[in-house]
Amino acid sequence: MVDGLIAIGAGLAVGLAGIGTGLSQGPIGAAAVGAVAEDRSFFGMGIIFVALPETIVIFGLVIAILLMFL
Amino acid sequence: MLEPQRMDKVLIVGSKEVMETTINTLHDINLLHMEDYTEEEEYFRIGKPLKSATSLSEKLLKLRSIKSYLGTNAGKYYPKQSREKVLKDLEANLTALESSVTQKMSEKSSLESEQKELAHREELLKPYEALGLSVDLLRGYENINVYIGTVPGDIEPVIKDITDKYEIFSAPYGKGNVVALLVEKSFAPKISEALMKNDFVEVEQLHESGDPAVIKKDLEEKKANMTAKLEVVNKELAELNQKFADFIMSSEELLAIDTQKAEAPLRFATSDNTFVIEGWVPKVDFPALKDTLSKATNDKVYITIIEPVHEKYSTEIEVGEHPEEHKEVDAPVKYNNPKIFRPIEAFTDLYGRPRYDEIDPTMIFAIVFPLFYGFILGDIAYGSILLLLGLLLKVKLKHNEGIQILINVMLVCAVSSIFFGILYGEFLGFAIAEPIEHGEGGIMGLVSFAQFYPHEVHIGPVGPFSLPIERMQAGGFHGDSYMFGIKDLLVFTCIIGVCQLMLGYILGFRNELKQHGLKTAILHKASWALVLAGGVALVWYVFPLALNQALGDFNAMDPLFLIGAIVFLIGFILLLIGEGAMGIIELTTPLSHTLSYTRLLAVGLSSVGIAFAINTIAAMLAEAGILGLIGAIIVFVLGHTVNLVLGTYAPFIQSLRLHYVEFYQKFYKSGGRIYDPFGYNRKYTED
Repeated sequence: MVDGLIAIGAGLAVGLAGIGTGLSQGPIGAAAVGAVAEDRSFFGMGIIFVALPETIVIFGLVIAILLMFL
Repeated sequence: MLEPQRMDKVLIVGSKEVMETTINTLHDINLLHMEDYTEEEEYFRIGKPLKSATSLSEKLLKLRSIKSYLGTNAGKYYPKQSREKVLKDLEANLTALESSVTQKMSEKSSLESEQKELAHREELLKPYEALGLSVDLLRGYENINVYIGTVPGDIEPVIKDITDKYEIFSAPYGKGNVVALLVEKSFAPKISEALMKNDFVEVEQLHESGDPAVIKKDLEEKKANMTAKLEVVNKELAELNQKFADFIMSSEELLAIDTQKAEAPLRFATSDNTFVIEGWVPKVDFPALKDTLSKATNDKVYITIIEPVHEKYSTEIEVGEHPEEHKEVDAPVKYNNPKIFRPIEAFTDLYGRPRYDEIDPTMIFAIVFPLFYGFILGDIAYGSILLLLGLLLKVKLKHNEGIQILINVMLVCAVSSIFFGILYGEFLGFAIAEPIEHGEGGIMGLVSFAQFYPHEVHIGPVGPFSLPIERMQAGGFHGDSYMFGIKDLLVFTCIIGVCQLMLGYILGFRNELKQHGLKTAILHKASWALVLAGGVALVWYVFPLALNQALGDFNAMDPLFLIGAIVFLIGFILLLIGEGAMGIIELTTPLSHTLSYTRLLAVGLSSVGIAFAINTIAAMLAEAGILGLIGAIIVFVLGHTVNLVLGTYAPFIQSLRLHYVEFYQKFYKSGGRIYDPFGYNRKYTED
């Protein structure tokens, strides 16, 4: 019973965090690609902006791993 | 090595009689990054281009237009040609080639426009074709109006309401009908109105006469004729391209070089009899520049270094007050890395050229990036496939320099993946270090390398540990020896993160020290380093307690906690002084950036997970008879191919991101001027 609940919790942690990341990354990515198409030198900045929300899903994953293995 | 090359600003002064020699010499040694002269003064004006400039650029323009017409590209490799030969060819070929290309191009464009015209007429004909009436019957009446057009539904009842003196022909066309309506002229206003109300759209009149089917056939014949002619012209153009590609590429290069030389004086300051060139040369190359130039001009030019004004970034903007003064930080940036790291500079340039006064991270990137990549991918089979693929591409695409850089990086990453694959004991998702029991374990229960993996490894006095490191298991004690598992890797990736972030802060400290002095360096960089170090100590103490649910044992006087707290506080206070409220808002970045490094584990784990799933599905299918076996092979091959593509791409992006986002942000500003010496990298010609 507890194992099952843990698995569900871990899944929710990764899944919901992933959705959050996706929602924020989409528009940022679109804008960044537009900027890079205009001027190649925006590439570095573009990567940084696109990558910012990615941390959210990593948090989710860390929580999931902690749940599953500790 | 971690700094861009040191530059000297040089001033070259000479009399105009040696100007051309100077230009040629400078162009040949390809070392001087020229600064444009922009201010017009009483004595010094911007130089005039050499006499040959106009005719050269005219020729170049012609050649480039031919090149773009023919679509000649640099994809092929041509042997280098001598200057004399190219000049001779140019004399002989250019005019003839231009006229034949222009003629062919105009032929081609007229053919194409005719083709378009035909297509348009075909389109016009379509409604008439549907009606099937001879076009002559639909025009030329004195007392009858003819309406030809499309309507969505049936129009006849509407007409009937107005008059019964009409003739209508109708045929299905598109989504509605096409109709030809012939009515007495006296009813025209009413009919027009009624038609308009029923969404009648008139079609264009035809110029041709006769049966639509015949017209259509005629058009088609003409069109086929046109296409054939166009093919011939295209073929001729392709032949021209084939024949002259070598000539075009080499003479374009030659003309570009000569034009560059002829227009160089536009960047000089000249008086009636002298010229002055300002520019930058790498410090190590200055003697060579001076010697070569003196020798070529018989010491008729004066070359000197302008000493920089040592000044930190000042906020005042001085306009033209001391034009000969210059600050060292304005120097263009040339990388200063050992040859083997040079290809990696492309990745630094992708982010932005370093500034003259900051650390060039290329070498750190070159060493750490493949390690990260291998840590993520970590599979012997995938690594080997990548290695073979890389070697194959390296031979196949010998002449493409841009691709060669990527391939070299790929090869190093592949070797790193194999190394980590051995550490993890992974081969296509199989655990090769597992002993075979009941036909299971190892690779498909057939091959196992369990006996090669040690179980009594001691790291200093600590141990024993057992290898391999198991990414897919929790880890822990197996008998006496400890096996590293996912928990340990999670902590390990965080430690890697802390180390790289700390390195970033240290480099940042050095940069700030050089750019803004000690105070800024301490307030903006050392403060963060202290926050990070203190934070790590605090977490190191509190986290195990929390995990073991022993927070009751918390002791604030524990040295680890105490020192951590003090260091953290000092850092925090410095941060408040340095960055104010923003410091508080950003206080969590060291934490989130450290946790971000756990992606090293996470991304790899997902690819192992997929590989493992593929193997399991394939094994299940394989047990179900001969059809199942075929299915198993398909799933296995297809699955691993997809996983390999994802598995090579994702580590690349993730390692790149860890450097660009987490690491570079700590110290790297970029935005330096690119060192672009006066000269040319010849590909097709030689002197």
